[in-house]
Amino acid sequence: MKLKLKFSSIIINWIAILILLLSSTSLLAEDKKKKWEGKTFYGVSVDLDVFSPILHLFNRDRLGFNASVQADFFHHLYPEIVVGYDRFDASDEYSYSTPISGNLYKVNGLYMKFGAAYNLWKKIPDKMVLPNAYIGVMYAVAPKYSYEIQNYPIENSYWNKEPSLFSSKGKTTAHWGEIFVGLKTPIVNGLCLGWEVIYKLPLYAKLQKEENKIIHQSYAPGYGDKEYGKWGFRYTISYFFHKQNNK
Amino acid sequence: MNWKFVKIMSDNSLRKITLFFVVGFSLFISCNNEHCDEVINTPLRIDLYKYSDTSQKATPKALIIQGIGTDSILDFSQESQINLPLNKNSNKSEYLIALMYDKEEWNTLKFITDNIFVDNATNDTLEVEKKVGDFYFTNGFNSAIYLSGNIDSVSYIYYTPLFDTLSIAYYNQNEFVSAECGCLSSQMLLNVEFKRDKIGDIELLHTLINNQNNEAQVKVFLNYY
Repeated sequence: MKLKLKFSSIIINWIAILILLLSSTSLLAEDKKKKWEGKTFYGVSVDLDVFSPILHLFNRDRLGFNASVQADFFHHLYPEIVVGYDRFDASDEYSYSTPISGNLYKVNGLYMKFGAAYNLWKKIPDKMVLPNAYIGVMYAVAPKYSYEIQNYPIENSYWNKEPSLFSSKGKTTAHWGEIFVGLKTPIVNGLCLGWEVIYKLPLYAKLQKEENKIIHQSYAPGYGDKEYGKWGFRYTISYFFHKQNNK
Repeated sequence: MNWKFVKIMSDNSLRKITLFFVVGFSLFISCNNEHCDEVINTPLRIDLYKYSDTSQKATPKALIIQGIGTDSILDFSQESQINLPLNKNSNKSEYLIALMYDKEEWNTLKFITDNIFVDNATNDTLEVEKKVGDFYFTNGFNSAIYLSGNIDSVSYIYYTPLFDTLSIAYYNQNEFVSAECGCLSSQMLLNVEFKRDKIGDIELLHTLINNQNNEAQVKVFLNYY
């Protein structure tokens, strides 16, 4: 049953990637003959993600905010920095045996992402703000984020009626890569709305070693669940601060 | 939104993008399917071999084991591998072992009641404290008889099993695996020995006990096989 679920999940992932590639191929073909023309630097947009705070309304165990700054070079290339904060409470996910009252696993901290997007949509050199369909890559890091683990039972039923409990608290660092696609369109002057779908590459979270203890992380700020959080979304409200147009 | 953009979006690409968005969002929802795939409890695995032919596995007629400090008895009769749960709150686990092999010397007894019997050879009266399978314990786990059917309507055949104590020293390491699975414990074996050297010889194959390795860590060559 689990294998079937995993397999169908992989198939759906590949269908999504295929649709994404088909969309981007047709958009690229349209743009093939255009040269990089016009200004070098058009300005900077500041994006605020509203998806993470909305998600908090449906799932109280997670809370997140993030914002990004994106520069526009040639209407082609968009280097970007994302800064965010996430808090996860994954205590309820313990499913191995009957949860012991009081077991707790919480993670919180800041994260940063650095990368760039490439615009696949039509480029109109004399326009300052354009509809934008993009694909991009990011390197992400959640430096020294906090985790707290309390009262997870260590099964020892043959010897003891009551299991001993595992607890730990500390900080660790996680890294990962992301591939993303998105759409952004101007609404009024420099104000834009957009959405972004993110595929996260496997998470590397530093193992914490204490005396007789090893701690693997299931969550990282900015990534979410290591096993089941490979896809992410952003719905953005942005403002484009454009450089004075000399033309 | 300018007219040109609306016109662009009204063509086929809009449908593709909408479909992608819907598929993507449903993926996001469906991927939150939490469960634990890890094996959390890994016992010490011991393979039993014949001392007379070390390539042949041995399957004792009856073999029962009790961890010292517990009431719980494990029955590995007719099996060639035993799986011992180590005590994760300690760096040492000790087990009492009662082994019955096929031997020729036997005695007879008569039951007076279900719990009291008389040895026909010595006329001693003994009280049964606990019965596990065909083992009848008369003095804790240190003295027992193994009952093997009746010789006539009143007398039963019994054998005296072998007793030994298996002592295992190890180093515990507890690991928080994930939010779904919680903690698992793995062990590094330091020493495995019989205290009375009656049952057999020990060979240590691997020192690590964890859920990545399903092979036996220890071989025991049973003396009477």
